[in-house]
Amino acid sequence: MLLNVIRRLGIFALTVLVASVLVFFLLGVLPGDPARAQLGLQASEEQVQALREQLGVDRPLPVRYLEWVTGFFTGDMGTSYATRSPVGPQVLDALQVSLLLVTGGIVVAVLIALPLGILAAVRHHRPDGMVFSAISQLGISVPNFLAGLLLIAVFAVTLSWLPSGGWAPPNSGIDFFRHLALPALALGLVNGAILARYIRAAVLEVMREDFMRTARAKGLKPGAALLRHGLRNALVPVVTVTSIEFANLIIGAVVIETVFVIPGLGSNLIRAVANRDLVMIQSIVMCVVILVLAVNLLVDLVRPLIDPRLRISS
Amino acid sequence: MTTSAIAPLLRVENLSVHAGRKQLVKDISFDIMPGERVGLIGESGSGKSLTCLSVLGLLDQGLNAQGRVILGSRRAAAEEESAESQSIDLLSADEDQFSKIRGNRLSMVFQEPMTALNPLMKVGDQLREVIRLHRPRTKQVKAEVIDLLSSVRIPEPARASEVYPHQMSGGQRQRVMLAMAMANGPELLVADEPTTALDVTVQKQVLNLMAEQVERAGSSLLFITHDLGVVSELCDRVIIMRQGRIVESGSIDRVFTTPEHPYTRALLAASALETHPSTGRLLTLESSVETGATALTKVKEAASEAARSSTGTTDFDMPSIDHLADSVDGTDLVYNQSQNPAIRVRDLTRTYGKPGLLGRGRQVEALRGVSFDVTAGQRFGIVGESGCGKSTLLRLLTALDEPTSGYVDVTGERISGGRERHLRWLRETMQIIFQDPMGSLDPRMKVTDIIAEPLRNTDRAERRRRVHELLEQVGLPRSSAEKHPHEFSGGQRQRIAIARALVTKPRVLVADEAVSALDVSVRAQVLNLLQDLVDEYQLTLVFVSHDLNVVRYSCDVVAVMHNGHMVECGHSEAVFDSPRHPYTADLVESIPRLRDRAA
Repeated sequence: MLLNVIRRLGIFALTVLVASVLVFFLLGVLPGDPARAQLGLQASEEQVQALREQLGVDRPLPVRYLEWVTGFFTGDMGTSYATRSPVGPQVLDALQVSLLLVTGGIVVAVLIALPLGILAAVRHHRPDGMVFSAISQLGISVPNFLAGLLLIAVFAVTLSWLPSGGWAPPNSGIDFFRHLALPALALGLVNGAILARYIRAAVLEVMREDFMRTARAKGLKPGAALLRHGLRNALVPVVTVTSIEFANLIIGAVVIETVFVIPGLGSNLIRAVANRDLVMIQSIVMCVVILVLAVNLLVDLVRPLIDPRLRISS
Repeated sequence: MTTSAIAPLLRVENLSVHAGRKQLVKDISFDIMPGERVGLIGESGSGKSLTCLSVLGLLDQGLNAQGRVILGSRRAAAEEESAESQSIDLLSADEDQFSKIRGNRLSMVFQEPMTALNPLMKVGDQLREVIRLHRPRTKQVKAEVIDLLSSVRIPEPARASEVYPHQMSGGQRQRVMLAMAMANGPELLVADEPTTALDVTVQKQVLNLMAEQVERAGSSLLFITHDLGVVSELCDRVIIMRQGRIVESGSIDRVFTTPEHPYTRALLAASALETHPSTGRLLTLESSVETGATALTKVKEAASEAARSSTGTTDFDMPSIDHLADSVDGTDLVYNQSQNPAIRVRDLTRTYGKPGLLGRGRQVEALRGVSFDVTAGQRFGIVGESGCGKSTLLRLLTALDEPTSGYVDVTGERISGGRERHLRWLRETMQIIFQDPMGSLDPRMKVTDIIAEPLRNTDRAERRRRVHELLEQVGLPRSSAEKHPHEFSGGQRQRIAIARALVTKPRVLVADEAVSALDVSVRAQVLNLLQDLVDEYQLTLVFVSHDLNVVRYSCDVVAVMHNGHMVECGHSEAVFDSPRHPYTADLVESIPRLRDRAA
């Protein structure tokens, strides 16, 4: 068990390293000169060259990679090409905001998906089960920015219950939740609908299992059988899907942050792309990559806790 | 004795099960008396499982049961006049009533022990649940769980209660299921093919255990099976079902010795692998019914006579076969040595897994040095239980896997590792028929394409001709060529698989449990077909099976495998009649016998 954890951690570290090489070099070979981008087309070649030296982009790629990667993991992510201020604090602030938003999204998604998926499965042969399925089908086909705009239109503009955008830090109490509610809802609704489909399929599959019939033969009523024997078994595939959904959610957050004007990784990323702010882009992309890998690692470690068959016997 | 003592425990009256408009169980009635053991026998589609699921109220959605299934009042009913102890119609019972009855008064053991237990829950917890559910005030549940496990002879019951189902073997899991079913001393135990998925030696243990448990608790037993041998060892009375109807019922001695219905007779003949006196072919459902009621007893007598006299004589002269048995482990004998082998296997081993760092790796020695020959034209049977290495041996023979050491020669050529393009000769000389006719045919291909796929460099007309010829040989109409596999029954699909195997005109045919998934009557037909084709094509047949009777009938020579070794090999009759290795003796002893009881 411990050996397995160490092995997984080793794989995680290696993947992060490979990912950092890919992120750096793929973004590094993109056309577009950051110095030229900042100075504009009017600037002379000498001015551009001077700025290149100042930014360090004239040096060979491998050297810049080593500098960037050591800096990244020691917290010094370099200086933004655009704002000339250190990238580190900006990225970390944005990461915190995005993490809160995505967590909110996941919570909303799971809260929607669990009951919707289970009800759709249990009542799949009845009209109301089909209604639940139809709701999740509809949810999948709505893009999340549209969901965001609709939510703003109803709850912020028409009803004026919640702010239409912006952000409040977690220590601001109720204000934090007021600002988080709509974007988390917009994120979670769509992903919840997708997750509900998976849960429905998993529960349907589990209900056909022989051990569910055994549970009934023991004298458990259908609901109790599902609760005690079915759901935990259905959870095994759902946990895996949730971790994949997490990656989707982060990508979704890029759009939602823009819609709701939230200073997270997504809105920073879009600004950095517009500015050709390579250092910033690399750092943000790297953060997202690590985040997704970390969630996958977590799921890999959690799955054997749910399913004893995955535990490696020693 | 009061009247309640004679009243039946379970009374099934005019039970019908419908799926939409289709009637699957047709108006059947039977009683089970307290303490009685009833066998419900039928082939696939006879409605036997649906009948027992209706009794337990566990029919799938979309199936609808009508009639009455009365569960009699509890034996102790006189003392407490509570609602639960009254007799009740199970077909109109609701979930509340059922939840008090299932697992308590009625319990069930299912066919597939591998999937019937919750994989995420410890064995002990699953047992505890059924006790807590019906006797919530039980103290010391833990001790009771351990008692239950030891009553079904699970070794180290205390430790076993802490493991998960996947850490147990199939036989152990079925014992756990039995313990769970018997936990609350049910009045009726319903067992649906509980030993079909188990090896014969394990089957025998589980059956004995079941008889013992039912005896001790004074329960009645409803035992559903397709295997007449199993029933004859366990039940007092049998009910034979066919196509949703009861065709015959009565005491087991009467039904098995003087069956009244032609179907029962045919079923008995097919299960015992009886042969026709003049042709020597297996009696199938059709042939037995054809012979007519009066003639049949004569036919059967003659058949057994013929079987006795034909013992040992084969169609062509076979050089004498040494009957060898492994006496000391370690010295590996060369079995069935031949001057003219179609297959020669020497010192074959296969080890799975790698030695890990620090010796922590796990290695499984599936095959530990096997040497034998198969003479050209011989019918060579390989028997053994799960895990004995027969599947591994088969994979090596057919070059689907590479040996760790040793070699295999087929028709004088060595199977040398790896690349498929070096093995084309082998794919043409040797063909395989697999166990599961449902899974081994591509569902999206037409029969003609399935059969003709191995043919290369042949034009359309030639392919058509070959396909039609083969379909005829395996007894299927030409029109089958344009159909898809799902349009055929299991037996018909196995015929298609045989046609597919023969299209390359192979010299060696390997049959891997080729009739194990088939009903007994269909099994006889397919075995007959296989024998005809072996003669016609002059094939060398390697027949792998766990079913000793089938191997005995269809092979000249049989080899017994155990723990990755071949332990005994010789003439089929010799091996089965006078086994030399203790394991073989054990195996032969465990075969459920139809006749023992009747005799």
